[in-house]
Amino acid sequence: MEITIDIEDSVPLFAQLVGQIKNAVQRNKLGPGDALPSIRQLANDLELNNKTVAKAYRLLERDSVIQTKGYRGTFVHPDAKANSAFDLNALVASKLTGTIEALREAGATDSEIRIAFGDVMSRRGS
Amino acid sequence: MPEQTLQMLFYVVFLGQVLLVSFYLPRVILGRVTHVIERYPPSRYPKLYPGPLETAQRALRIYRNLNFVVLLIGLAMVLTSVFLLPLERMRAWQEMTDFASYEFILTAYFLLQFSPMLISVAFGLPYFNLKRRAGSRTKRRAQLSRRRLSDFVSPSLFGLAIGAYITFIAFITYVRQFEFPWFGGYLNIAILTGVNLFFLGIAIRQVYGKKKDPYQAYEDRMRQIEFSMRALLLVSIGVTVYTMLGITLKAFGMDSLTPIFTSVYYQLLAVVSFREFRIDDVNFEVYREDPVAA
Repeated sequence: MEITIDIEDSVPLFAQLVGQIKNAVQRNKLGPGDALPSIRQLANDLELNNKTVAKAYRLLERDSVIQTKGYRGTFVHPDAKANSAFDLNALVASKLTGTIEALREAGATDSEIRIAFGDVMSRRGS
Repeated sequence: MPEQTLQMLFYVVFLGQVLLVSFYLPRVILGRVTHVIERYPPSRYPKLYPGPLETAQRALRIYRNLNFVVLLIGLAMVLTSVFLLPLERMRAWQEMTDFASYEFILTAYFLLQFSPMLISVAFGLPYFNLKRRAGSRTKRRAQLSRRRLSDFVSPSLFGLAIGAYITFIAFITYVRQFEFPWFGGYLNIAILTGVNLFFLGIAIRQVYGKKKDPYQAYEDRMRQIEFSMRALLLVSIGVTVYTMLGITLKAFGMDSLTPIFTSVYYQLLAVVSFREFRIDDVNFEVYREDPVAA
């Protein structure tokens, strides 16, 4: 199973990796329990920074598409196919769209929404 | 074995080393490179030549000329020893020195024999870097499968190398009890362990490290790694066996055979190191301007 990364694409490199691995799972090119290359191996093969691949693997692990088994390496999650169909980014976009529309209907300006969104996010982060 | 016979045998083996490492193997390598240049010219396979062809040809000329000089030095050494120095003087010289000097001369000459290759590798490194820079394509590909060291090593050869290492430890422990004044004891184990760890480092770099040639087909890269692994294991086994043999010969007072075995050992080392896989199996299509089967 081969993956291709386009370094001039507007999509971030880690997102391209996440998308291609999910795509491979969806198309049954990768099955549950299949071993994935180590971060170092994939980063060297694609001539990318280790951190970029590590970030992609972290996101895939969060979405339960892959799982890391200590020193044994990284494997495709048993429920990877079902989990990779779920798009967290689409859910975030849909929820935000609904909320923003409701706030606009209530009379809030875009500027007020932006400031409030920033406040909530920074409060959550602190 | 009579001294004269032993000496003649050594000259024959040493002549073999001179001809094999400085004449035959360079000839094979130059033949291969010339074949590649003729069959896959820069006009049709530009990605194979990141720099001007003249640079590569100059490096080849240097390699050929250096090997010729080393060959002449080797032949001069053999001829001087056999024909020009009377046996009495040889014997006196031999008494003055010792067999360790033979080994020193052999090792020094072997390093000299390897120097043209090292110089051409030094030439090749910037060439590879040039290739990497030229190969900074926007699209990069990788296989989504994990590589392991064990994928590239035959279990039997690996078992043999481990077996040789364990035997070596047992051998050193056994010889240690005789308290030979010249014997290095556990230092031998430390040195061999260091050598094997060094080989392991090279192996890990080969399997997980960056690829030198950005255009190389995946299958070719895998084959090249497998080839290097086999060579490293063979050299590891060779070093172990050679060291045990050297100690055994010395322990039994048969030092006079050591130079002969050293020369044979160097020849085997050269054959293992210079081996290459079949050129016709390499996928050169990836080096075309528009790759057909990248």
